[in-house]
Order: sequence, then structure tokens, then C-alpha cells
Amino acid sequence: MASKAIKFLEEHQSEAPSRFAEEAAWRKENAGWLRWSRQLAVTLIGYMQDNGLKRADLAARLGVSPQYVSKLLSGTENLSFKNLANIEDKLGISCFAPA
Amino acid sequence: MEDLKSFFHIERLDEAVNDTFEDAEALQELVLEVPYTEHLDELFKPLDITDTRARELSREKARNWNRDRHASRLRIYGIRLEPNVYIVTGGAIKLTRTMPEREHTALELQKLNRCKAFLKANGVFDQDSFVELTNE
Repeated sequence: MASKAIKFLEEHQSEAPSRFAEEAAWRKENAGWLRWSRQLAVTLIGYMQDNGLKRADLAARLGVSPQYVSKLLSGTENLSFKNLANIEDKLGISCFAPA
Repeated sequence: MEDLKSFFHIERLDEAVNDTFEDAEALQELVLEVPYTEHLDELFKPLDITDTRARELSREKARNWNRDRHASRLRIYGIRLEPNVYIVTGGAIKLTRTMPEREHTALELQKLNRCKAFLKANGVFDQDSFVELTNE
């Protein structure tokens, strides 16, 4: 029979078990391209603020679903050069700062 | 956005997001690198003055205390059982001065209080008594 403390912790724990260590290891392993994805997300957030856009508005401009925009804004999406060029063309922006 | 403007004087959401990404990375490294059995007390501090005076089961907060440019907005919360031993109850991005001001941080405060109340009600005062409780 589970102890009182274990029952209490089970009743109040998060619905999803912690995967912190596993996810941290993944982030470190993929730090290179995640940095670019993060920069894209920040650029898009700035664009949305400057143009008074919500997620659905940005999705309409890009011709994609709002769910895909959420992925772009998460900073963890691994895009192709083709998709990056499409975003730049559709929005008239440069996704990354010049070298 | 209002919280960022009024408390942190930040007007640009993209700046805040980028800053938080960097903040999270730094906190991640801190959590992964701290030697848990010897130096965890360096990461946590009492939540408020009542916890500073508490002799047992103090509510504590952890963050990156050495952040450049401004204080870190990221928090980890827990109950201190004894030196370097904690039960972590949760975490949050804190944008206001006090926890009750926003729903998500008020929830973290509630979790801390409920966890502390339970431990006290079950006679848990230090690591040994918590282990005893889990073995019942």
C-alpha cells in the first residue's frame, strides 16, 4: 500500500513526468541550429509586434497554419533553407542579422 | 506586456523573449552543474522574511543570482528539509513584485504552502523523518 507521502505527491504532481535532464541533453547536443531557430522566432515576434499581428494573422501572411506558426515561434523548429527563403520573401524581412 | 513594461521597463516583446531564452540557458547550466549534496543551499534563498526566520520547512526560491544586466525572471520553488536537501514544488517566470499578483505564480505559492502544510501535519521536519514517512 502506497505511503501517505507518496499518495500526496502523486495527487499533486504535474500531469507529465519531468524530462528535464533528457531535454537539456538534447538542447546541448543541438545547440548550433537551435540558436538559429531561436533567432528566427525572436525576429518573427518583433515583426508581429511592429505590425500588430496575432498568430493567425502571421499564418495568413505566410500561407501556413497557425499551428505551424506556433512551431516557428517556439524556437525549436529545424527549417530548410527553402522555407526560410519563403518566410523572408512573404514578409519582406531578413530572418537573420548580417554577418 | 504590461508587466514587462511596468516592472522591467521593457517595451519590446522580442527583446524580452530573447533575454528569457538566454536566462533559461544559464539556469539550465546552473541546475545541471551544482553539486547537489554539498552546495544546493547556494542556489536557494528564503522566499520571504517569515521563511528567513523559520527554523524548519522554510519555503525557498532559486534563480540565477549572478545574472548580468538585470535580475533573472526565472524561479524554481521548493521546501527546505535540511541543509542541501529540498523538495522542489515547481517553477515560474515571475514578472511581478509579489507572487499573488498573477495566477501562475499564485499557484506556485499555493503548491509551496500545501506541501509545507502536509509535511508539518505528518511530522516531517528533516530528511530522516521524510524518508520515514515514505517508508510507512
